[in-house]
Amino acid sequence: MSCTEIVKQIHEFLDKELDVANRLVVSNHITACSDCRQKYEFEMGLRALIKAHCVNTAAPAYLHDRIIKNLTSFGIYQPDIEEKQAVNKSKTIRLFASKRFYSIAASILILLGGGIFYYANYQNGNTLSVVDAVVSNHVMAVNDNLVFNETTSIVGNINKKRNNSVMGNTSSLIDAELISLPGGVPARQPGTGNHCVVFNKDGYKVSLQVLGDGNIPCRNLEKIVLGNKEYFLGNCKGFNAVIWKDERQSYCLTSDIAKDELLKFAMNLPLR
Amino acid sequence: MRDDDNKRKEFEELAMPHIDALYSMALRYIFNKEEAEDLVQETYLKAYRFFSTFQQGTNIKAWLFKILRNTFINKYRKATNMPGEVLYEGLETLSTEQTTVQEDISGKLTDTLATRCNNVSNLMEDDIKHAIESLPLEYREAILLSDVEELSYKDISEIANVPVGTVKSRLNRGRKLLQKSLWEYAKDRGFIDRRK
Repeated sequence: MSCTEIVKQIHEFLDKELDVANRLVVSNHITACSDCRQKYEFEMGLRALIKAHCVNTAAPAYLHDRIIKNLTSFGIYQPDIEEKQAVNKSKTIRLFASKRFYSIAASILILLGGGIFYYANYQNGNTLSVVDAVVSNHVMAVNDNLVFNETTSIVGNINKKRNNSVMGNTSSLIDAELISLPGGVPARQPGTGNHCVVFNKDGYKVSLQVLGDGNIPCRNLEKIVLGNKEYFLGNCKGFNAVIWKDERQSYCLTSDIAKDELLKFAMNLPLR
Repeated sequence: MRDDDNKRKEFEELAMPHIDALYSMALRYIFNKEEAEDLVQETYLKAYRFFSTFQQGTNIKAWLFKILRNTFINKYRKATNMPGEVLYEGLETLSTEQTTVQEDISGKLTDTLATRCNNVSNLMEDDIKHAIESLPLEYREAILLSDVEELSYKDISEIANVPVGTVKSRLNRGRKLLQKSLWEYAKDRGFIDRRK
């Protein structure tokens, strides 16, 4: 290999990205050729400099503590609402047994109050619960199918069953009975009967659900009129949701991407 | 409940040791301590929420970096997408035209510094900081993930959601830019003879 070719490979050599054969060629060449060695050492020095500059920044100690504290209040996502309620119940029982009970009785009352309020809303099919439910469905579908890392966790239950390759295939895996979308992975929400399609938008997972053919209560949601269509925007647990209706049914698009992005996306969906 | 406790413990053991790396990266995304702290915190909460989807045995650091990046983009680059490669097309042609000049530059650097890289470290901390910060985000990110965090091209490509080839070209162009601006600083400060 000529010096020019060696120099071209110096970065990959330093990054340990060369295969064994090439690595050997480069390292032998560097040992023998002083010009290339100079370049190599210079590159190495530059990297060391950048690295030395960057590794000096440690996160402040209070940040660590703050995060740990917040994890407690956050909790791992519980996909099943009933399960969640069961967990809450057992928590409550423990609280009753604990000595701290009296000191935090007031907060429990507030929580219970909130719970009743929430439950009442849920029963009434109020807008809060619509968004809450679609977010739950979204998270469940995304968890079942694909999150974050396209290459390691794409394979979802549905695809396994259908023996399909993921994402790339545009025709056979799209039909979730009611929804037809290119590049989507269909999932049926257990227990809800709602159809849901999860797909990839610029690396983010977006889910589209059919909410049914009736009117959905959207009065408390932010309303945006575009053309002759009305879109309702909601947010729950950090997820944005866009709800809209066509002649046949109501749809909801959910993801943790920004609201206006999601809206733009919703407008351009090629729905059947 | 016990399951939750175990998950929690596992999460803390696996994920929390990377807090410095994440914070350092966050700082180089937004250059503001408080916002970087918030970004890191949000990243951890998100990671915790989705911890069940993390595949054991894969690189958790890369996974966390990906969440950090997504969180950053969602928060700070909402409507405006990441500036596309298109933006840098011009720069690419520019740099091909200048290839000879740049090779010349790195040649001069090597010569004048007599391969003693120590001299480069005479550059002020601020100069290095500026050189890094003035890089376009995609290049900065690729270089830091590669040189500082020592992640593989494949990991970086997953974090940045681009093909490995793009990572390579970002690294190449980024390094050239970085070298060039460091060289300018070195020249200004008289570490390199201006007449050469």
